Amino acid sequence: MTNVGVATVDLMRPDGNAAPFVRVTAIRKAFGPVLALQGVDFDVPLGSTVSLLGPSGCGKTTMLRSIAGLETPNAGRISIGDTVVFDSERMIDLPSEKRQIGMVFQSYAVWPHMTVRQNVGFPLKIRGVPAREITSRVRDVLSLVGLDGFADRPSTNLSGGQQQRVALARAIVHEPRLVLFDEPLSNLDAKLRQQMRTELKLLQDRLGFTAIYVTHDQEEALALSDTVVVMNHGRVEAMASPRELFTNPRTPFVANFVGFDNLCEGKVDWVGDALCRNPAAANDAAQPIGVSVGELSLRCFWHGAAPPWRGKPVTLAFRSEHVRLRPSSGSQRNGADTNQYEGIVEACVYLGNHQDCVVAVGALRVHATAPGDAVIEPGNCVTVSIGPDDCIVFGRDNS
Amino acid sequence: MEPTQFVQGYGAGLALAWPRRVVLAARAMVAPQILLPGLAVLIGVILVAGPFVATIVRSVLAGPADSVSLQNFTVLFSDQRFRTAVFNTLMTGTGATILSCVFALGLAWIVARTDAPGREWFDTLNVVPFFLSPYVGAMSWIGLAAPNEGLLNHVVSLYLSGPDDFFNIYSLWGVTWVLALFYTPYVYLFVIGPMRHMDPALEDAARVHGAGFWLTTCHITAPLMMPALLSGALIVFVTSSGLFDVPLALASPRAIHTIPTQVFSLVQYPADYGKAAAIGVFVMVITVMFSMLQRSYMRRRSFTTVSGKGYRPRTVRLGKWRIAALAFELFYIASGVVLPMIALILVSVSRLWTGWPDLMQFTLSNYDQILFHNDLARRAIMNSLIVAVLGATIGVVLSFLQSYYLHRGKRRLQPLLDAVLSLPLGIPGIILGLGMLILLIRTPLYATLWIILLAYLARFFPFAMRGISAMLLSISPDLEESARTSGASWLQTMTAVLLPLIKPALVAAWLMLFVIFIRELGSTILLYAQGTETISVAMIALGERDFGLVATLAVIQAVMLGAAFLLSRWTQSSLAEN
Repeated sequence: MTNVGVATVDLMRPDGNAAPFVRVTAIRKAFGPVLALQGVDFDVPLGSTVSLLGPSGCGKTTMLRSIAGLETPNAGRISIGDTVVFDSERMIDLPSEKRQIGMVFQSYAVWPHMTVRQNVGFPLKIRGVPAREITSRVRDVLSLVGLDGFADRPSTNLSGGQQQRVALARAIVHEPRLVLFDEPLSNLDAKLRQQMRTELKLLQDRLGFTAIYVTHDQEEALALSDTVVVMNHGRVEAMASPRELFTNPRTPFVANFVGFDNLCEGKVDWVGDALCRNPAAANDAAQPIGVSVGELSLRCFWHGAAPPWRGKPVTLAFRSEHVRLRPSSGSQRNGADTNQYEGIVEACVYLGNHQDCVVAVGALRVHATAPGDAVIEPGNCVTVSIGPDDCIVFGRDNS
Repeated sequence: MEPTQFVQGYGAGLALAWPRRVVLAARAMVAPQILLPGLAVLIGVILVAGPFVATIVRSVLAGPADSVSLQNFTVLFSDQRFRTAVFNTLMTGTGATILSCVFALGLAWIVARTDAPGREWFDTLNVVPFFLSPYVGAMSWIGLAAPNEGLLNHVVSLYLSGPDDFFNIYSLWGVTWVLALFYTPYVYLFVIGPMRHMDPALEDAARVHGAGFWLTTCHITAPLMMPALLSGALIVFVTSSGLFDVPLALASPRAIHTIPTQVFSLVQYPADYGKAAAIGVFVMVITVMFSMLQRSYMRRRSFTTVSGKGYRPRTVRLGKWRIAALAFELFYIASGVVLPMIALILVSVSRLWTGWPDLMQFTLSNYDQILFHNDLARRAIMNSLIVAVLGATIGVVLSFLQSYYLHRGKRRLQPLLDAVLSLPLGIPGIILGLGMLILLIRTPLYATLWIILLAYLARFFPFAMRGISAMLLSISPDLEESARTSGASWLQTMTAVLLPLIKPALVAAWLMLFVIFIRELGSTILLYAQGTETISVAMIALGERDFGLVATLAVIQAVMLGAAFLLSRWTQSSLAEN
């Protein structure tokens, strides 16, 4: 929860226009004994896209459905624009149909007994829009999502991608204030998913609707959103811009989720003098420290607020892409100063552009990525080097 | 020289090839995977086609010389009594269909989509009438609503100072009411699945995009339920119109006739088989038309509304309407199960039934009579058990092999055979019994238990086949093929892989056939003879003498059916756990 405060600062725009469009406050929800949401807070500024990212079961879909009014939280407050749509204290729970939103479901939920036109025109028909106008607006929105000429098709014989487009068209045809996406791309195959991701991004930029987007795919979250909310066990684990999240995660969980695939536990070995590496950013103070992991000692930097002390338990995280492998020259010793270690390749998986290797360095198993053309065989002796800047150190004693 | 030699050589090769091909074909025929399913299909086709063809042939033979003509049909259609019977049948069938759809939709909605109290219990209770015999239902409603002596009429005259013939069960209304109660579970079973498993996102999407509860119900839920509802309605219309038991018990005593009871009276001495067969053909044509209609409708409009997502449909909070929902549920269960059973039990333990339980009249002599002294009843219970156990076993084996034939491997005749084997679906029991009678009356099978068994099998194996086929289709052939590639023979594959996998469907089919065979009356009534009476037949025979004995036998039959019902619930849940 401490991260929330930090992240809210990130959300503030430099021009001071921080009035949130959607505001979610202290939402709790239990399904029987299972606590799906344990106090979730986040804001969505007008016109921006926020992703709820997390593993399955983290509560992200429950959160989205609570915003849509399809699930009733046990406590908390949700407001959209000037309207409080849910407030447990004031006993406000606006039904879904009154919340003026659009939503794309994971299963698309394209109604099988209607044509494409009837599906897409439904939100307008419900709102009493004249038939002539419905026809023209459905035509416009269908061409927007690339379904020109599909209006009179029965919706049962559409491909997955086409159903997805119908669901999208239906969610935006009535120009809602807020569009919710519940893992909309997860049922598509990999290639189509990439294509739809790009199209969605273009559409979003063009129409400028406010969006909340649930996904378990970090690439999707990074590609589509202005802010990523990482959820875990019904709590907000982190909230940051995609760039910030990717380069500087605040917890081991988030680090692991955004691709820091090497996580190891160790202790602070030595603490150096704090130094200011980047004079332009005064708060970017970094303190060189040594971390011992098993018999290895790594040199890295401490960014945390509280000063580290010797023997402090920490978790070390780094990406396999940042691990460099070289054929062993035999002359180097394992050294804390250089972060270079001798290791033996245990396994190597060739993936074309690159290969995923597991290297045993003492008792430690290091995941490393080597270029596709490097000649690496299991059993080879290699030199493993890890840049001190590429490591992130997390304290494990809650300080 | 050389070309001739070539031709000769080719010809010789051909001459050699022929016997080889015949041998190979013959060897393929006797392989168990071809022979057993093929044989089962052959038996099925004969069982179905025999009565159909016999009825059609008999219907065009008329006059003392049995010359070929359409005389039977012209006489039939100009017969005022037949027209009245058709009208009565249409009235009761339509009424029962509408009423059972109303009941079933309400009950299914309450169970699947609301927070009404006791939903889990009612889900089981709602299908109990399906397991009770319609004849027993009719009998018990006589105990409840017969003029002057019915329990309900007694209540009306005693406490509401109304006439003591306020309810008259001996009427078309009575027939319609009992049919509706009895057929509600059919529609219920059709609609509860879609109601419960419909992808909730389909409704959520409507809510999110601006439709309230009623608009969502009208535009999304109702149209999506339509295929299941119409399908159930068509089946109920055909089968309830063809049911013999209820009109026999409730309409015949007042000389009101429907098509099935008219067939029955035509076959009584002096029998007019030609005219009866003409009715048979008339009913067959209509029934087959209806089932084709239902199938083509289902094919066009069956939506897959089920998605893999684990969310249950949202339940509607009824608030103060929960009481109304509970009352509706209780009303149906009381009318369909509780009141009839109470009436039967009270009648069965009374020395003399006067419309009101009287402790002074309490006796167990009826049970003593039926179980230990009455030869007819004892014989009937034995016969029913033999036919039900034997018939269900043979039926399940046949249905499994037929399903296997239709759904595994490439069979060119598959659609045709499927259609032929589905013909008996919905054909009234008395019409099929008539066909069997015409077909086998001059064979030694006549007047044995076997002819009854054959009629039961012919009429009901398509029911068993539906369930088994559905399960077979849901199991990937890869599972069997991987057993074959691991070295198992076909028989080993069947016993080690396929049969264990579809065991739930086999058990369900066996219990269903057992229940149907224990209570069946329509197909038996024309085929039984002295010594081959079944329980349902014995009830009719006893009904002419003593209503107490009938009620007692009905209670015993209900206990047997109840046991089968509990067994089916128990096996379903224990098989589901595995």
